[in-house]
Amino acid sequence: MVELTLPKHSQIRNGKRFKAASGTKNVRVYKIYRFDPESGENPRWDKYEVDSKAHGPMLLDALIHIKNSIDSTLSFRRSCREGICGSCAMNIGGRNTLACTKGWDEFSGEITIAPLPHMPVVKDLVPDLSGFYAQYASVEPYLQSTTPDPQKERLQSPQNRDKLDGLYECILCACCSTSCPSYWWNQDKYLGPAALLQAYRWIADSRDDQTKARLEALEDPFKLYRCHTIMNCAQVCPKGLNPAKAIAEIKKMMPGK
Amino acid sequence: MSDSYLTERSAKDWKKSVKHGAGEWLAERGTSVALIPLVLWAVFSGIGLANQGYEASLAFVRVPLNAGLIALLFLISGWHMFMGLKVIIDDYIGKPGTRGLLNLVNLLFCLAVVVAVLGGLYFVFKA
Repeated sequence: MVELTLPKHSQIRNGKRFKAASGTKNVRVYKIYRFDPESGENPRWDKYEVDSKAHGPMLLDALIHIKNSIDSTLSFRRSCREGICGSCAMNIGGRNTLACTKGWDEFSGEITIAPLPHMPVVKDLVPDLSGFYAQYASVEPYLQSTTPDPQKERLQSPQNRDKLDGLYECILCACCSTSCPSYWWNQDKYLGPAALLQAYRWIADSRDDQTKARLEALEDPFKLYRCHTIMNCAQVCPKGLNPAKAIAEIKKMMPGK
Repeated sequence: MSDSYLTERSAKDWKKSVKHGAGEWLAERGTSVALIPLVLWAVFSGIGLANQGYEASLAFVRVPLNAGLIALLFLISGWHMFMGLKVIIDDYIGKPGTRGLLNLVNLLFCLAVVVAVLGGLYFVFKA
């Protein structure tokens, strides 16, 4: 449900400032959300003055440098460092994106980094994505067919294969779902853009013959129809996908199922 | 974690569906399309009746085609308004009891608007 003010225990206070050594040139200031639920303290904004020459070109490089050299208590997820795993999704400069594919030089002034919005925080920049993964699992994201397994692979025409472009590339980083106001207010009932894009990926697959069952499972005023084509999902997707279009395709198919 | 809904609602629970929504989605779009010519007709009729006086307006409404179109305009508008307000209530009101109550108020309000217009038309013809 919509909440217009933060509860007291969620209000963010000013935290520490980690100053760069005197004489350091090329200093950029990173304002980073810090929260440790076990401490019982409110979240805070810590500021880190970082020598940009001391790390690589991406924001993830800056975060790794901060953790290795300035403050080892900072927590964040990362893995592939090349925009494939989706682990380092976070809100940077007010926009959800991947820290590993975003250059620090794309921002001017202080760079604000926060966890993905409207998700419970495990610690610092690490959100709890349990609900997001449960939603993904519920769309049964795997091939289902009643025809017997062939000796080799299941064939598909190039035209039918083309229908999966713009869908299969999703890396489940959750940037889209956590940028969606409908998902903010109703993430306990609405599947969200990522899960619905994945649902359509299998609905559109010519090798899968459970289209009717998949559509019936999605027909629900809250699971599907909370999408109001706000388009934040398409704006922020770091892979350039358009979940809103996939959801629109599901809606178009639904009456004729 | 205090956010129990994230851990309590498993993938199995997420598979449940109430199996409706497509009809409402179609109705929203159907009423939107139907309102385009009806609203245009109403606007141009209103401009045509401006400065014509009360009697001319009554005469306009007494034409059966005009009365039928006015009734249709408000029937479809009332239905469209109910669906639109319901979407807003469902979006922003989380408690099922409060949501149900507000949706009932919404239904009664939209019905009252339609009944008032149809009643007005009835009295115009009866007079």
